Amino acid sequence: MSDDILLEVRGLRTVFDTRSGQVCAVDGVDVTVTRGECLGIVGESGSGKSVTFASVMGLVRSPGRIEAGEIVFDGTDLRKLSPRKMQALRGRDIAMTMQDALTALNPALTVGEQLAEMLEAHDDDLPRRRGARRAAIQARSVEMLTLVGIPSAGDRLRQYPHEFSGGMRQRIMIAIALASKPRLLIADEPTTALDVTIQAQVLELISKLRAELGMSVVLITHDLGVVAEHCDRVMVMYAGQVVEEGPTARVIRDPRHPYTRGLLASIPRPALRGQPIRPIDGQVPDLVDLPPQCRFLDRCPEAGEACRHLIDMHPAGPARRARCIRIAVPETEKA
Amino acid sequence: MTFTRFLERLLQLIPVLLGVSVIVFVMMALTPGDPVQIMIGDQIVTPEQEAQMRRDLGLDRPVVERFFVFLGNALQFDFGQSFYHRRPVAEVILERLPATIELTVVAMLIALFTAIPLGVLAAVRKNSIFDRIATVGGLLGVSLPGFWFGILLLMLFAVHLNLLPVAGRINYGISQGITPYTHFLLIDTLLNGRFDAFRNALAHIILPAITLGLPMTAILMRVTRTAMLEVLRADYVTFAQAKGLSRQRILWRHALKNALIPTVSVAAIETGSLLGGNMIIETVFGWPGLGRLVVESIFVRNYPLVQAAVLLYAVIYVMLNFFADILYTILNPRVKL
Ligand SMILES: Nc1ncnc2c1ncn2[C@@H]1O[C@H](COP(=O)(O)OP(=O)(O)O)[C@@H](O)[C@H]1O
Ligand code: SF4
Ligand SMILES: [Mg+2]
Repeated sequence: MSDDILLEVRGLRTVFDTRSGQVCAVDGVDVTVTRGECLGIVGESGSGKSVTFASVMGLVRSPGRIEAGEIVFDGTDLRKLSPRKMQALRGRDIAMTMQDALTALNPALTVGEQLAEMLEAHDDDLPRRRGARRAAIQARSVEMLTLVGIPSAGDRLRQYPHEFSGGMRQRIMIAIALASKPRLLIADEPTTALDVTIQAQVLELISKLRAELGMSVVLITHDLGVVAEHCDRVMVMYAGQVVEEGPTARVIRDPRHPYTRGLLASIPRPALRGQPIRPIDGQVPDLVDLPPQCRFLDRCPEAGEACRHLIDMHPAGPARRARCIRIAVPETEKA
Repeated sequence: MTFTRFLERLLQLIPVLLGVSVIVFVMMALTPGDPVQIMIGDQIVTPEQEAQMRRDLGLDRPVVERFFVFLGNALQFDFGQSFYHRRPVAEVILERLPATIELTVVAMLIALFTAIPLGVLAAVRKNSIFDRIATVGGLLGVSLPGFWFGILLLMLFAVHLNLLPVAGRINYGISQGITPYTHFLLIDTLLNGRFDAFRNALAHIILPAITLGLPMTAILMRVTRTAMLEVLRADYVTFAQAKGLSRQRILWRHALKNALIPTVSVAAIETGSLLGGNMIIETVFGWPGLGRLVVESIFVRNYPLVQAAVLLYAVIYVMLNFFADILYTILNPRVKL
């Protein structure tokens, strides 16, 4: 079983030292991604989804730093890698697309150059000789843009990001990320900025490529509908912690954590998709100096005195866990 | 679009030139000193001769009338005779212009090629010792008087170490037999295949160019540093890192290409201020350019030359601003031409 694990994060803690104190953006997060699976990460904005995976990529910027945890990718602890080895792995083995394609593509470089440099860095099959190499890069670039559904790719390689629509920019970013045929793709809210039809296209594309390339995908989103449709497993994050995880179908059918229930309740049921979720009254707590109690306490309809402790993840059925003291696991499901 | 903007700039030039002419005229009229007296010097002349000289130079007319005569002639590109050289002003200026342009361009290149790498490094090593030294150095660079720094360099490299010449553009002996194709010595010496002369010209230009370019270096370093700090925070830099690109590529291609947009625009505008610096630096280093000619002409109240030169400076200045605009458009693909 453990041979199947591609990425394993244990006890990740990432903090930001700010003027108002230490912000603990990610606090003891565990993530497991198996080969070929699609893992969905959901949670309101500010719950630590992006920071978790920036930590995995080794891209946390000052004033942030990883304070604790292990990040094991295919048997290697990434935190122990030299910056050089980490750079070699980034893009090649783990690729990432960012939340906002408009700001993630360099405005001063053509799309062609931004694709070509990815191939230059990671495609070992390119010919050595300069002329042949350039031709091969051109051909591969056209192939990648066509793959993500951008017509007349040859001409469009010469254009700059601002000359493309939002949906196209998102797809260009995916094309760049996939150009190296990575083993893991981290897609950070690939559809949030897009309208519904284009959303569907982009997600279809990622699913299709996942099947074709056999890669694993981490799909960060705050749309549970997207998760229901595309992800094998789901991890719900709240205030820097994982609060529930398990196989998507079961989590959605029978959520164990009050926060997950809140998320689900806030979506129009039949369609199970649509607008960004606005679950439950109240706000995500300030991540500075959190009191030792359940982080969801202030908003939880089921809160009681017993919740004023640090709450651990509890088993919640087969392959399921949730961070709540009131989990009632049905007898039949107990392992 | 560019062409209309170019026309716009040309039209803007008209009030600028008019204003500049008036100011120069008024200033020259207000400064004490009389060109005829200066020209006479110790010679003994009769009052009639003196009056004749005054009439010859048109100085017997009232200032306002002289101004309009000047304006009328200037419109036909006639800037009159240099009192001192007794030759057309335009001719004298054109003779001296290449030396000044050469010095300015070299100063600008030195400034660009030192300021940009230093600014990038200062941004990358923000708050390091290097950054602090660069910051203090930059402050000194803008605030030290150019002539003082120039004299310091002269004392050190020319007088004490005897490595570089003290003044001029090239040694007289070496300059013989060089066909002036372009009137830029660094180019002409090469075109003539005279590497000895090229080295000599280079040795002459290096100190004045460094001195002239110093404030610009300091300013451009600050601009580059600030722009780089801004750009390095951008999402596209994170994405470039996520792509696994090398640090060098991210820095010098992804970040710098964006940071250069403000830097180059400021460089183009700052080049205009080099023109002002030229007057002092050329005088300190005995550089036979337009700047020194203007200073000399002010001393002898050579009105026509000063007026024409100042107009020329104004034209160049406005054109550099226009050029900065164009550069901005070229470097920034988001702005349509
Ligand atoms: N540069 C930063 N400085 C301070 N705090 C930050 C910074 N970046 C992120 N954070 C903190 O991390 C939290 C989680 O951010 P993020 O992972 O981007 O959330 P999500 O992706 O789930 O919307 C934010 O609420 C914020 O408090
Ligand atoms: S531990 Fe208590 S407060 Fe926290 S989610 Fe469970 S019931 Fe609600
Ligand atoms: Mg995010």
